[in-house]
Amino acid sequence: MVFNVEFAISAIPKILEGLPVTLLLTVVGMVFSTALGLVVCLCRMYNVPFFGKLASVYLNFIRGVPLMVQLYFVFVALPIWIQSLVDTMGMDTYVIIPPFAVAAVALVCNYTAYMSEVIRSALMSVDAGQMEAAHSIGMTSVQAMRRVIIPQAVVVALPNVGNTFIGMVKDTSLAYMVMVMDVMGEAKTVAGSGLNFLEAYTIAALLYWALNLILERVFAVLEKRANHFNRNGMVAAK
Amino acid sequence: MKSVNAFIDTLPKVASVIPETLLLFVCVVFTGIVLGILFAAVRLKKIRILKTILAVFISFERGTPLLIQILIVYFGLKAIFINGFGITAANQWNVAIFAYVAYGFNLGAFLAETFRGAYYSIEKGQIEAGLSIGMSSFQVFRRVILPQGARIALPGMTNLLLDDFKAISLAFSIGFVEMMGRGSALVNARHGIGSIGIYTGVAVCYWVVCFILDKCLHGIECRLNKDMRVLGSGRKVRMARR
Repeated sequence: MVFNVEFAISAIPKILEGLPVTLLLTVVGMVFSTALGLVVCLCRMYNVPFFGKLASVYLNFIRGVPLMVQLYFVFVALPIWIQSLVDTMGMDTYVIIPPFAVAAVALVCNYTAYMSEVIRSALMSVDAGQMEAAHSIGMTSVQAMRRVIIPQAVVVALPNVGNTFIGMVKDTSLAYMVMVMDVMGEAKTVAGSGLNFLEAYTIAALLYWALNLILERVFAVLEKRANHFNRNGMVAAK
Repeated sequence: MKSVNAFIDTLPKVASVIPETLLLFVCVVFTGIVLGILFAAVRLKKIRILKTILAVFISFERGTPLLIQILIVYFGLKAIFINGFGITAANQWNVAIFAYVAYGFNLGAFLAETFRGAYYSIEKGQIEAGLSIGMSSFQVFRRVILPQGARIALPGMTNLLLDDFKAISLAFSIGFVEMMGRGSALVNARHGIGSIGIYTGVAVCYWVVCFILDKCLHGIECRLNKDMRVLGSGRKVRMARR
């Protein structure tokens, strides 16, 4: 017997228990990596002294190293660093870092780099004349960014953001390597009891597939709405 | 200090598995390109049932984590060989085989979409022109589509290949020994002492190889673009300076 269908069906509820963790990890990753990505991107675009250079080095390094390695690095380094920080502050406590925090930190560190590139390409696609026009009618740079540049950049960025988020959903599966009980973690636990790894992982794969199909649909709708006022057809790079 | 010592001690050991990793990568790349062309051709030729099956397969490969795909291939192929055909030797097979199958199909699925996009960017008139002067459709592919398509597909392909190289770190979950697997084995052997240094060594190895790969692939891109007057081609900048 190659595939135990009964076991696969009976494992579904157990594996679904990991879904909230996966979703939470994804949402945390999305929010923080977008916010930090914007900061990193602005540091690079405005060549902020020191931070601009630092951002370039950070980007270069993150993009050349697999997420798996970063995850393990955070897994071993974060507790030691925080512990030594606590020690130097003179507190006599033993810090325990939950696995979820480790996975979230690694994921955000990784995706901040990718998001900053997505945001940069979107901001650069907006014509420089728009900023000058906004300045000429007396807007400050912040106002111009908020009212003129960012709304246009968001439309351009949407397809890439969608792809990045889909990648993120997939990459949250690595979190089980550091003992986070997400969909993958639950699947491994369920499988371990009866050595039905194939069945459990297949269910997990279907779950991720469904999640990504939904996410893809959501972004397709968003893109359509964002392009509502664009008379030149879809901005989305086809 | 422990970390620095561990870094210096283990860096050569971690770096010593780079050849194996690269060998797997090269095999995967060739298989991926062949499969990608094949998949793209089937989808473009609109062969009825095959086309639908492939569309679902490609959607699956792109919509699920590579980590799960590796595990499914690993446990699935084993189950098929051992329980299906009764080949118990499958337990002793090198895990690189399973990794190779999983990565090959994954890369093929991703490349198929890149190739399909490149094909669509070639003007239809060119293919018709080729056929009208008596070329066979293989000749048209070889002399008209491939030279132009390769140039368009390459930037997308470069990104996919670099991602794929980094993704080889996932194969350590089924026990394939690449830099990551070596690194974590060393961490276990040293009971976690200096683990930060060891993982830094792994990261440095990956970074260096990725950097070199990036440079090589970019070189190929520039070469393919050498008689095109497009942006981003190294040759054009040089010509402009002259």
